[in-house]
Amino acid sequence: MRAYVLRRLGFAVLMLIGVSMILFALMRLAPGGPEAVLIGGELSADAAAQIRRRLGLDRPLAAQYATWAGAALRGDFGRSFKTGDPVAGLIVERLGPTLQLTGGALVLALAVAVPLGVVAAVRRGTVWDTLGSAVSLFGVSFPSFWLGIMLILLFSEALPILPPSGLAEYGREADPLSRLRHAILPTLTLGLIQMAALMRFTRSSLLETLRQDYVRTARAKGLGDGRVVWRHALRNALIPVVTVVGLSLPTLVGGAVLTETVFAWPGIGRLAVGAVFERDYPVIMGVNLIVAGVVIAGNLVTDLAYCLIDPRISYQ
Amino acid sequence: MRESGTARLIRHRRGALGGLVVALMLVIGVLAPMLAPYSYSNQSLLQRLQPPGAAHWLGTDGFGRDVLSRVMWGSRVSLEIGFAATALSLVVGTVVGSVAGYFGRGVDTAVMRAADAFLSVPALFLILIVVALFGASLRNTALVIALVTWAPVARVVRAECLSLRTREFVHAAHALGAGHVRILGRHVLVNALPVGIVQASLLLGQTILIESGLSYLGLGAQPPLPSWGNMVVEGRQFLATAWWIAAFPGLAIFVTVLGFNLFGDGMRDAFDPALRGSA
Repeated sequence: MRAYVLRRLGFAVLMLIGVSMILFALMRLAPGGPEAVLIGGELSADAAAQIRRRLGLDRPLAAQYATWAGAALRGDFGRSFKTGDPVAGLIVERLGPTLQLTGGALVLALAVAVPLGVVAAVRRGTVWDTLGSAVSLFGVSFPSFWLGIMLILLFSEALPILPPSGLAEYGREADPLSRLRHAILPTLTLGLIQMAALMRFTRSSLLETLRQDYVRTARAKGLGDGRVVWRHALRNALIPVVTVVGLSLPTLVGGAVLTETVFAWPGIGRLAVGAVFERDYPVIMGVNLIVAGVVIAGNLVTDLAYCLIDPRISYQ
Repeated sequence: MRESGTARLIRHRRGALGGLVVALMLVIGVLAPMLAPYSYSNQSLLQRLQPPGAAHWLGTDGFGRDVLSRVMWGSRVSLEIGFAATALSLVVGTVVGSVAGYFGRGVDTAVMRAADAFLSVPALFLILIVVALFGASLRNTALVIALVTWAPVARVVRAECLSLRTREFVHAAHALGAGHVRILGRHVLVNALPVGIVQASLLLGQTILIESGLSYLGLGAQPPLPSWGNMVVEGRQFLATAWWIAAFPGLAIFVTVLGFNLFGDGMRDAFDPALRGSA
């Protein structure tokens, strides 16, 4: 077990290094290099070369990467081209709202998707199953940003009961009630999209489990339907669902970019989109590295949770 | 007698319905110049923000442009990028997956770890970097979408090739002196292609969703060329007074993606019986 954990940990670290190299290479591939934005078009070749020297861009690529990675390890992602603020500070400031949004959406999605998936599997072929399939098919076909806008249209314009944007009213950021009211629509938008995939998966996983011998044995013992499904089958059916939660982390975080933009939610996604328009490379790189790190860590946790839940999985 | 895959697809009711929706959207996209009642760019300040009615079935936008005509033209961007990105993703995924599956061992491990790395970076973030560096254009959009969608195709093609390479006809070709390139190209790839195509048809809806999301962020098709995503953004500011500007292009995305998803499910059930009902 310990060897397995260490190996998975080592693999996660390698993955992060790989991602950081890809990011670094991409940044250097930019037309004109990252300094093009800083230098602009008005400097002489001489002055430009001087700036390149000052930024260390005349050194070999490997040396540049080592410097950058070393600083990043110490939590120094450089400064924003646009504002001059340290990138690490900008990210820390925005990470909270994004974690709140994605965490809330995931909890909501699981709370709805698992029971619905169970009903669809147990009542297979009935109207409940058809309804469930329709809902999940619709869910994966919705453009999330449009769903968000339609929710705003419904709950902020037609029936003005919920605020359409922001984290809280100005000056009331510490008021939990205000935060909650503002979180409802964005969380719903992001959660609904995730729900569809999770529900489909719970259904097919439980259907598979219900065909197993031990389920037949449980029924043969005379156990009622409820006990068979909830105590015997669901526990085992949830194992693959845990993996899917891990695999859906990238879509969850990616979906946050659009949801944050629709609802003016001050998170990582909006920071990244803003930086793209400003061509603020240090911010883009920092955000991507952090996001990749969070996703890789999430996958690591799911993998480890997986072998805790299911003792049959070997740690080879 | 064995029923052909095509016959199964037609009998698969939801798949056929999806195919019909897709066909309809294709016809609208191709014939937009003839079918659209107005031009997509003609502005008329007198006709601003007209609600849906006899003259403008889906109303007009903030510049007085006909929403129906723009939705029709917008289908071109979505479909072109959807098909181009999916085709690219199919080609890259098939080549990479078959090489990994056929050669196995070190090649396989290296390639599939790279695929894992791609799957662990949120697609939209990766796209943001590439667009930031290389700019927004239709070609770049198709390229970046393919960049983030090839991995699932590679996975299924690899699995198929892993089993194909141990089959007798591959051994036979090998014994007859055929080289790796010939065996891979003429014997393995041909047999692995169907699963790749099924996977790609499931991707089509997803690529259209990604494209619309990029347009929504302002990183896809650039105005005045209408795309459904950028029409929704333009409608956002008139939400309180003119809901139809944002509502209809979004509905078009939803219907098209739903059609592609139904069609993809039908394709999977008809051509890949092993996967039937698995998702």
